[in-house]
Amino acid sequence: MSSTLCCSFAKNVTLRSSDGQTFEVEEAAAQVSQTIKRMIEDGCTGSVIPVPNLTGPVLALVIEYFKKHSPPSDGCPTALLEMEIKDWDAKFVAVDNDTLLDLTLAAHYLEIQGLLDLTCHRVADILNDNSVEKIREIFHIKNDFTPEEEAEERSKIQWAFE
Amino acid sequence: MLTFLPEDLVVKILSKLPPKSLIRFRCVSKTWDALIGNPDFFSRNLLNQSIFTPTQNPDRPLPLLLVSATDKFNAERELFSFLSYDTLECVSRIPLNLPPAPNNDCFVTIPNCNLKVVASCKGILCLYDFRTRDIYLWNPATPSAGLKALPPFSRHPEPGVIVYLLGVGFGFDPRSKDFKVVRIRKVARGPDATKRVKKEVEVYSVSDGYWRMIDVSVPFGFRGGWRTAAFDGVFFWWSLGLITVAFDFSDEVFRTTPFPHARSALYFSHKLMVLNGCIAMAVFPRASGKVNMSLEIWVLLEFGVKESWTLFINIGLPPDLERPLRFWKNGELFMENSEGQLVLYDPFTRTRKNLQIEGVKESLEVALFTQSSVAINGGVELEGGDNL
Repeated sequence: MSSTLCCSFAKNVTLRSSDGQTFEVEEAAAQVSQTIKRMIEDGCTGSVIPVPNLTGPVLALVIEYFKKHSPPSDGCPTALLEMEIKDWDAKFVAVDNDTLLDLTLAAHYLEIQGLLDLTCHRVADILNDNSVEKIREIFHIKNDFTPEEEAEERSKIQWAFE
Repeated sequence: MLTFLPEDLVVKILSKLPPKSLIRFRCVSKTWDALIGNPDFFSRNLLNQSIFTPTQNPDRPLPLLLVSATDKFNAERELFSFLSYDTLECVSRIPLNLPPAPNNDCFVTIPNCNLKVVASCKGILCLYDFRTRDIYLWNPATPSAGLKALPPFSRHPEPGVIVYLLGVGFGFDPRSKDFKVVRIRKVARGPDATKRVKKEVEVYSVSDGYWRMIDVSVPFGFRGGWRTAAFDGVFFWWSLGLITVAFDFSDEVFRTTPFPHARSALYFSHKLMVLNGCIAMAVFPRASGKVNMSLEIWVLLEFGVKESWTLFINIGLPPDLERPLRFWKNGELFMENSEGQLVLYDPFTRTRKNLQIEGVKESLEVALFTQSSVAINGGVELEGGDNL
């Protein structure tokens, strides 16, 4: 109980990435992440919160997202603000494929529902526009079919390639 | 840097893809093939695609569900119940009394069932009267307008000619913005009526107000019948010649796709259904009382490509639920039970709910109904209306 009380006075928290970089961020903003929210509620705010699955550059991006999506201090967001955030979101995930996948994993690990939906949609759009070969390249997926197996698989579903 | 996404994340991403892309990505790797090829995953994915809910236009209200049933105590009366799509609450019930028929010697498909709802489209129902062979267009929002039959078959001028009605279809042609009815008839000559058989196709458009014969070849093996479905300006028949036949109301042509997964008609029934944006085939054992009833739903992902029939779901059914009618929003299925009652069955939890609607056995149908104030006697005016 005392730690909860203590938390309401602490405005900022410090997050530390896997490579040791630290970032200070408003506690309300960091609570966009359900994982961090739970850690704050458990009383972790006194010390630095470790985020071992994210490197510094990725954590920096995620913190940008926190700031944009932290609940507004004056209550309900306006329609204009919502549109602005939507535009910002679209630009935020218009990044190279590796960064996009890093952000997807970060959203998954930190339980940021909005960012997870955003990145998954973006990845799905990329998948939809690309060939099977290109998808293996993007996702670093090893093709474990033998050439014969793959040819057979393709012949079964030829219609989907047309 | 990154090489690995956990499987649940891959599933989350793949579930946002349209079915055709998903099928293509079976070739990516054995892991993906297993993920996508898994029928359980596939059906859940399609559920995520909200394939069960109609594509929602935020400017328009949700459609209603229309349940039609022939009155158990009066075969000349059809009961229409309109249910809220969201809550299944009954918002309106309209009984329709059929006009008296002079003689009742026609061929009736279902005992004690005289009326068939051909299709429901933009607020208009197309009805077929088995007793008189009359076709009606009816707007239930203005029931006082009554039933007005379309011009009937003209008697064939030659003697000794027998005319059979093979099929009736109804839909809206988005190109000419007109409602159209198509009927296919078989004209047989000769003493045993088997010689010189010809199939003729006629189209009635509401703005024309008359039937016109069109010069189009009817697909080989088309036998018409009442196993039908309609959506997006196309009308579908399931023909026992093992093909799905579609009539496109804009181009006024037939197209076909074989259904290679048909079962023996002796033991199995086949029923066409509409899922969100594609046509589906339900295959289920003929009644009744058998244990281990199982219902297969196949989805045609690309019309014209028979390889694109994909097994969507395989559902175990309680023995008294005999006929699948339509899917509801979360994969629940409207079924008719052995008593002719409407039941909502959830195949995932295996729970059911009796919806307190009943009729002559095998007469129940469930369709989507969008209210409108379309005037059908005369010109077509399409506008929003909700005076039901």
